[in-house]
Amino acid sequence: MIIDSGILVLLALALPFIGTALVPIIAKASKTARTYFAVIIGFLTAAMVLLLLPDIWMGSTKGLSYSFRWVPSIGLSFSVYIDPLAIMMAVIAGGIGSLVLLYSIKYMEGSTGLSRYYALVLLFIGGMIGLVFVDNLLILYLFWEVVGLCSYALIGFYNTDPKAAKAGIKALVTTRVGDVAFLVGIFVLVAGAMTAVGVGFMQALSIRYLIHNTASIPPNTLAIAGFCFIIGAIGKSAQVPLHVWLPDAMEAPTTISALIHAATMVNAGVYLMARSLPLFATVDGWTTTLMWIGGITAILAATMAIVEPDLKRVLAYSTVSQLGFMMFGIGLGFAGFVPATFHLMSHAVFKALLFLGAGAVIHTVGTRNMYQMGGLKSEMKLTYATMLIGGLSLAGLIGFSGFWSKDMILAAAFETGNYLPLFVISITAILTAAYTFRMLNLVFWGKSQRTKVAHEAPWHMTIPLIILAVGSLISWLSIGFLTRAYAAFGFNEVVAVTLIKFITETFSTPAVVISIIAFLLGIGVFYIRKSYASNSIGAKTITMARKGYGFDTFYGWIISGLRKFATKFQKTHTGDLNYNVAGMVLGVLLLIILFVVLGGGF
Amino acid sequence: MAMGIESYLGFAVAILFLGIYCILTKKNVIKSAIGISVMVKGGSLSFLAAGGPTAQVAVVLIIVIDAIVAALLLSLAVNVYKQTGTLDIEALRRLRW
Repeated sequence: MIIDSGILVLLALALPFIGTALVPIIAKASKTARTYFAVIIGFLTAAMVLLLLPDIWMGSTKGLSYSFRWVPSIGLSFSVYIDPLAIMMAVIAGGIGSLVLLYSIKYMEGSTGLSRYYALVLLFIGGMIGLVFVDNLLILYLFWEVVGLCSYALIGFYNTDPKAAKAGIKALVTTRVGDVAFLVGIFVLVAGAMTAVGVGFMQALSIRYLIHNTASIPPNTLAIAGFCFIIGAIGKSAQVPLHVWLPDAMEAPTTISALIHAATMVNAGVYLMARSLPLFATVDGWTTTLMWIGGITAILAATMAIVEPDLKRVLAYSTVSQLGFMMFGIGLGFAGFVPATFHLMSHAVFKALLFLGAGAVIHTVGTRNMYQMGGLKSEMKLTYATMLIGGLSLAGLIGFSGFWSKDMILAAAFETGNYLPLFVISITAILTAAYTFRMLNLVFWGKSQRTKVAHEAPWHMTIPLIILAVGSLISWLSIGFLTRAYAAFGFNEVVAVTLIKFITETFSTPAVVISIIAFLLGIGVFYIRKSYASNSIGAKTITMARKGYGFDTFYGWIISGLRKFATKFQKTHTGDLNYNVAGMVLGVLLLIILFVVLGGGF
Repeated sequence: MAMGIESYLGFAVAILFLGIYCILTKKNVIKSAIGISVMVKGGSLSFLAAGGPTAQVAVVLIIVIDAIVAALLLSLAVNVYKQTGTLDIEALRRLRW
């Protein structure tokens, strides 16, 4: 390596944050300079993580480990540990982040508040890279919140649109449920780890220490922490029952949907589960819970995607469904670790491609309703070609990256003997192909429902599309490097395979038959859709799915119930300073009395 | 005569309660501000009672922060007077339900 990897790590972590700080300052001088500055910072960050990739994926057996002293007086250091999984996530964040920034030049042109936009996108990229690089659970949580904040602020980017502002708040509040559980989980876990003799607070926060010393944590605290972590991941990765925020998050600019709500942030939950799998694998029911949450999410979201009229919401439901696939994979235990993380990578690429393609379509057509599109095949040739590649990858046609990774998940389910979940997930695979073809049909193939002529997107937008399309075709070729790196790092039950062996193995398991049949049946479902919609039961299920199966209504009830409860106590708000202070003093006195009665406790 | 830490702490608590009493009973914004400042003095004194160099550092910090808080409170008082024409805290009830 020409450049020391320590410097690369530091730059990859620092550049986006420096960029965030400088964007508003440069914007004072020139708006164009600001935009190009943000794009250049994005590409530099991507270059840093890409330069780190060979170090870790090829030949190395132990990760890059650095420690930057942060708050030395309490022994807090910013410890970084980079293994193959972390660097893969960072490459996705940096790579897709930079492509999205390039795409944004034209896509976001003319909006107001662009300094805010570019600053937040850079902050997000930095937060995501930090999230996957750090070894300390508390600092991980810090970055977890940074990306959550960026997601909230960018969903509500068009802040004059009340719908967007509401969607942002909904996303923030819904994921907050998971975040709180995650924080509780961290503290329970650390408290458990500290029961071992001679383990300090900072050591107990280290993910690497925890994974290698799982046996020293009491089983019941480990179980509580494990389920808290699952709730955290459900919130972040939009799994049932906390999936409701992701479809609404489509009020964000399409670039943000591609970057945050398809390729990176929503994968943070999956990443957390993959990372903590060795930690919680022994907990009773942990993997089974994860498997069923993933399976149910996958199938529910797929049925909603198949009836949705809004192009972006179809992709959002599809993302929820695919995240369900990944959760399902990790729920299979160590056998599903490689398939799940491999699917994470291929999904990130082809879903970002589909979103950016959808962005190009929406940009020129001016509506998100698919029933008002149609016939774009001849007018937007390049967008059509790239989106077709992304769509076929999502549907799982042999040879496209989505096929290989999805098939791996099915094969893992088959080999571990989980036949009922395998059935659920196979149905989902059928629905996936069906909604993909419905989407392509409504947007590109069918008769034009538009009033004006569409134009092909400018090169700033098509170049990222082409790069991502190539990525969707070839990303699966990295399986050899990925498994070899995992195996070299001693990940549980990972066997290194070469590309040739991988292909022959894929085609020698019965699961591949399921994949192929699912794809064909998907086309079948696509062709019978009209007759299904015309019978009465079909029409009813479609109405139900369009309403999102009443999750939103249910949450609405909870909120209005809470509001009623709260108004009952409204009278205690006298607005009188003296009363308020009296209340505070009484509270403090009560606490003191409690401490005295309980003998101090500490 | 050297005083024990108890007498320092007792005095600190007395000052604290004096401040609380002031905030509890007075309706004048400036008097409330004075009450808050008095409370903070009780806090600093308890730090000094604990002794040691860290306590001194903490007290210097508290004095600085207290000065800022006092400035903020007085500027609030000025604005209360500008808005309502009186310094009575009861006048600030617009957010009451």
